[in-house]
Amino acid sequence: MTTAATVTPKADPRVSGSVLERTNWRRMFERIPLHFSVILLMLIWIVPTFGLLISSFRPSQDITSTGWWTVFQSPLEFTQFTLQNYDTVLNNPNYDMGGAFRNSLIIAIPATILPIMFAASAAYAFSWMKFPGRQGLFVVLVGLLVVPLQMTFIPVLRLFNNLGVTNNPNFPYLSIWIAHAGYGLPYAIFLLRNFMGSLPREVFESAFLDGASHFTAFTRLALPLSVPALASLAIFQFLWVWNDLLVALIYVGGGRYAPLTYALSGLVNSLGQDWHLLTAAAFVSIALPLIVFFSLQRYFVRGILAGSVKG
Amino acid sequence: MLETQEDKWRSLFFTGPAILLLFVLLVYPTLDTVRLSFMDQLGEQFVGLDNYRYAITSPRMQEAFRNNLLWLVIFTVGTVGFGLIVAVLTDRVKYEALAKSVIFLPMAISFIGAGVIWKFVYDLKPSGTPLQPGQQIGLLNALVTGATPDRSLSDAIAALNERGVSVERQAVVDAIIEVEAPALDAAVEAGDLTAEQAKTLQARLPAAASAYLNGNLPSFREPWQAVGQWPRVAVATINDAIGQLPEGSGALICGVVPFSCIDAIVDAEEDALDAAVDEDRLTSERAEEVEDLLPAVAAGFLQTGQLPAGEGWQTTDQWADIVTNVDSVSVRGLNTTLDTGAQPIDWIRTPLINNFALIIVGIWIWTGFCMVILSAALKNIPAELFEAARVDGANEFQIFFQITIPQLMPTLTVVTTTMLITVLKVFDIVYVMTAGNFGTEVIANRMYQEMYGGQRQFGHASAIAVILMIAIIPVMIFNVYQFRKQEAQR
Repeated sequence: MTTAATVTPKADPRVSGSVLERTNWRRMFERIPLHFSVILLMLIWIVPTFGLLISSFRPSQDITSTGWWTVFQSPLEFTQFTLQNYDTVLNNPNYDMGGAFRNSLIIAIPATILPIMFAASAAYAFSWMKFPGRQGLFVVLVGLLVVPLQMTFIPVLRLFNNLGVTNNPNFPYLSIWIAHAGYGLPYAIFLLRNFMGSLPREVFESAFLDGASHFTAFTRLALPLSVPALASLAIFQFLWVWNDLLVALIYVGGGRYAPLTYALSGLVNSLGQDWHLLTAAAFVSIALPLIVFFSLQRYFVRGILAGSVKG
Repeated sequence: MLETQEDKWRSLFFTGPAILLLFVLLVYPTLDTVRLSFMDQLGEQFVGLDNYRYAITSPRMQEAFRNNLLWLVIFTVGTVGFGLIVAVLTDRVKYEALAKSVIFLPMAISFIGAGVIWKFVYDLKPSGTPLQPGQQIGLLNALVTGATPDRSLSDAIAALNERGVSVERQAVVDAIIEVEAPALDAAVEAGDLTAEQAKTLQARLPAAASAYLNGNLPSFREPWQAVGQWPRVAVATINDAIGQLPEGSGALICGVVPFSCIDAIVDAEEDALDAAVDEDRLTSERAEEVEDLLPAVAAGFLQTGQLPAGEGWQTTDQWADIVTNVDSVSVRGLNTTLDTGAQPIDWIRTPLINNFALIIVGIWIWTGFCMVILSAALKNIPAELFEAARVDGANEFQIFFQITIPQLMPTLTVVTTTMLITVLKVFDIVYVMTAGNFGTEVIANRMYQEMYGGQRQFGHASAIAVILMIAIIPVMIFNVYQFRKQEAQR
C-alpha cells in the first residue's frame, strides 16, 4: 500500500527509521518549514532575555556604545566581560539589591506557607466534610478567583492602618504576609479541593470506620496524598509572590523592607539609561525564579493545568 | 460523603482561618470599595455618582478605556493564537520539551523583569544629539537601521562640504581640544594625573578628537574628562559654520542640520492652516501666502527664538515643544541629507506604536501559559481521529481547522476567559515601561495613580476599581457557570 507508506510517517514521526528509508529525505525536506517556524519562535522568545544576560556582564562603556550581539565577534575574549555591575548593584548601598533579595525571601517564604496551610485544611473540609452552605461557599470562592485586587486595596489598607498592621516597626512584613496569604487563598483552595476531592473515597471511608477523626484523616491521609498538588501550589505561589509588584507597592512601607520587584522598579525610574546597572539588577531579580523554573518546571506546569476550570 | 452532626462544628475549625482571611481581605473590602465609590476623596461625604462621572468622562480614563480595548483584542488573540500555534507545531518535533520550555520561560519572570528586558530591546539612541555616535544598542532599532553605525560627524562635514557649506574639520578638532585641555590641567591640579601623564594625553588629543569625528569616543573615560562636552562643542562648531546660530537655540538641539526642525514646525503649522481654512478663519489665498513664508519664519524662530505675531489659529505656542521633541525627527533630517536610509523608531514614546510595543511584551509573557494548557489538551485528542482524517486524504490545514480546533474548543474557551481576566487587570507592564504616559494609559494603572499618585483620590480610585470589576463580572459569571457544569458531571 503505497499511500499508507507515505502517510504513516507524518502520523507518527517516531516510526520513520524502519522500513521507510526511501521517503525519509522527502519527508525531511517537507518538514523544513516546520522546523524553521519552531526555531524562529524559540529564538524570538529567548533572545530578549539572552541579550539582558550578556549585557549584564559588559562594562558600562561597552553597553552604551555597541549592541550586546557584538560580543560574538570575539566570543572567547573574556576580558570583555566583567562582574563589576553585579558587585555594584548587590553591594553598593545606593542600589542594595542584596538587601532587596533578602527582603524578597523574607516576604515570599511565609507568604507561601501560610496560605497553603489554611487552604489545605479548608480544601479538606470542602472535600470530605458535610456542613451547611458548603456548595454556596465554594461558588463564592470561584467568584473570588477573578476579583481584581484593586477592589480591595483601599479598605484593607485603611483597616491595616487602624489596627497598626502597616508600618509596624516590630513586624515590618506583617501586612504583606497577611495580604499575600489572603490573595493567594482562592486559587490555593480551588486547586487543592480539586485534588483532594478526587482522592480515592475508599481510603477515607475505611479510615473513618476504624475510628479515625477528621484531624487524623487530614494529617495522616489527605496531606501526604496531596504532596504533588501541594508542591505545585507552593512553587506557583512562591513565584507569584516573588514576582509581584502591585501588592508590594501598596503594602510595603518603605525602601528598607522593599522586595526585589519594588527595588528594581525604583531603579528603572531613577537610572533610566544606566543599562549596566539595570541589566544586572534585573538579572538578580529573575535569577531565583529561573532556577526554580528549570529545576521544578514539571510541578509548575501541573499547577497551571490543575487550576484551569476545565470545560 | 460522610455525614455526622459534629461535622458542622468541626468544619469550622478547618475552614475558619481561610474564611476569615477571605472575608477580611476580599469580601468585605470589595463591598466597602463599592460604598467608597459613592463617597468623596476621603470617604466621608456622600457624593452620588460624581466619581463615576469623573471616571467615565476624564480624558485620561477615556484614553485608558480605548487602550484596554486595544489590549483586550490584540493581547487575547495574540496569546491564545500563538499558544495554539506553538502547541500544534511543537507537537510534531523531537525537541518539543526544549521548545516548550523556551516559550514558557517568561512566565517565571516578573513583569518588571520583563519590562527591563524589553525596554532594552526597544532602546533608542537618538542620533540628532549624538552624545556618542555609534550603533543602536536596542535590538529592534539595530534591526530597523540595519545595525550600521550612525553617520559620524565626519560624514556630516563631508556632506556639507559637498553642498558648498564650508566646514573645516580642523576647526572642530580644535574646538574639542579647547574644552579638553583645561580639563587636563584641572586634573593635574586636583592630583588625578601626574604632569607627565597629562603631557602624554595632551599629545594624543588631536588624534582622539579626530577619531571622535569618525564615530568613536575615547574609551578611557575618567571623571575629570570633558568627553561629555565633545558632541556639544563639535555640533556647535559645525552649526557656526553653517550660519551664525546662537548656542542653546533650537538649531543646537537639532544637531548638525537644523532643517529637520524647520520641517517639523512647517508640518505642524500647515495642518493648522488647513484647519483654519476649513473653519473659514482664513481665505485659501491668504493661507497659500502664509505657507510660502513658513520656512523662513521657522528658521527665524530657531535662530532668534522669536515667534511671529499670533493669529489664533496658529500653533506657535507649541513650537518650542516641537523643537525639543524633534530628536528623532532631526535624525530623519540628518539622514535624508546624508541619504543613509532607515531611521530608528522610538517604540516607547510614539503613540499607538508604543501600545503595540507593550502588548507584545504581554504576549511574550503569557503565550507560554496558553501553550501549556492547549498542549496538554492536544495530547488528549484521540490519535485515531487524526489518523482517520489522514487516511481520508485530508491535508494538514484541513486537519487543523476541522479536527484540532473543534476538539480543543472547550479548552480554548477556558484559556480565552483566563486571558480576558488577565488583560483587563493589566498593570505591571504599563507601570514599568511607560507609567501610562505617551498615550499608553490603562484602567488598572489609572486606579493606582488616583490612589497613590499625587493626591489620594480614594473616591475616584474606588469608582475606577468598581468599573474594572464590572468589566470582569461577565467573565466571572461564565466561570461559575462552567464550574457548575463541571461539578454536575462529577
